[in-house]
Amino acid sequence: MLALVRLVVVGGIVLTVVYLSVSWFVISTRRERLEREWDAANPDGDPVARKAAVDDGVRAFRASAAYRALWLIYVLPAALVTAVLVVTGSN
Amino acid sequence: MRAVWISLRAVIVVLALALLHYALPQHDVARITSTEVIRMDFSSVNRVFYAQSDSASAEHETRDVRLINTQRRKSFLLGFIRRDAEGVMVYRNEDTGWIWPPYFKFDSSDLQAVASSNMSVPGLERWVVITHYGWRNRFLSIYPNAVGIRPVNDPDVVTVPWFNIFFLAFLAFGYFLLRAMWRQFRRRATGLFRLNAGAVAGRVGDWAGLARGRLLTWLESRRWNP
Repeated sequence: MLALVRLVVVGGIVLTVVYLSVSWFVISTRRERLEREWDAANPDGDPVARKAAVDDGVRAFRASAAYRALWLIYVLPAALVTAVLVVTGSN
Repeated sequence: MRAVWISLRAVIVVLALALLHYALPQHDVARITSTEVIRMDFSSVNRVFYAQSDSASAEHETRDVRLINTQRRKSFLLGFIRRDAEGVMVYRNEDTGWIWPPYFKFDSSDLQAVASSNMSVPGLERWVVITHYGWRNRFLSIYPNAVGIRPVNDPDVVTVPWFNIFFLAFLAFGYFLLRAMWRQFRRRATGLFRLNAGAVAGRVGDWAGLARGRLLTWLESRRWNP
């Protein structure tokens, strides 16, 4: 039982590190792309308007299904382990 | 310094490959000749190469280990090229349970029953594909752990290592993702993280100079001036 607790705790920590880094990465690349697109559309634009537009874009991205799909980082390994347990452990 | 870096990297690569070779599943074609249980007294040398007592059982210094004795088809190149020659191979059969490596194997007793029911007897050869991980080493008294046994009719059966294909592809994906993330981090990280070597060296130099100046001032202040 203790081994199961240890697996859940260690696995949870590892997956959280993966989730946070991947989340930071996709938001950062999205922000970069929004900045590039805004710069292309508004040469010599106002920096304040640029920041507001980019922040809006990032906020919209955070609400999108693609970003929320990152929860699969937790769901998929848990589902995989459960599937293996059911297959090897059921009578 | 360069030589040190290259050697360090080589050691890390070799260790990583050894770890993969130890932990990833491989398929052997074999004939099971007998199964047995031996008592084992682990030492600090070989304990790390064994899993644990059966899931939900207490762990003691000494316990019984299930073994599967076989005649195995020898092979080249990690089992990809099978030879006609045969050799002895002994597998252990242990629960990996919730611990390393993550096979989540809880069915050792059942596997031992499968091994027994597919045993070869003289005059009746029965071939099986044994999926296993781990190493056999006679000096350490360690055995690869069997995780699956599948009866086959043909000893020349072709086994495709699907799991390894997907796992190594995933590993490569992870490597490139990590590299992309690191580059993005270097490019975009701001504030505290934005350090460049010159600035750091300069700051350390300033600090050292400041400390030296203070020390001198302090020494000066201690000097008795009539």
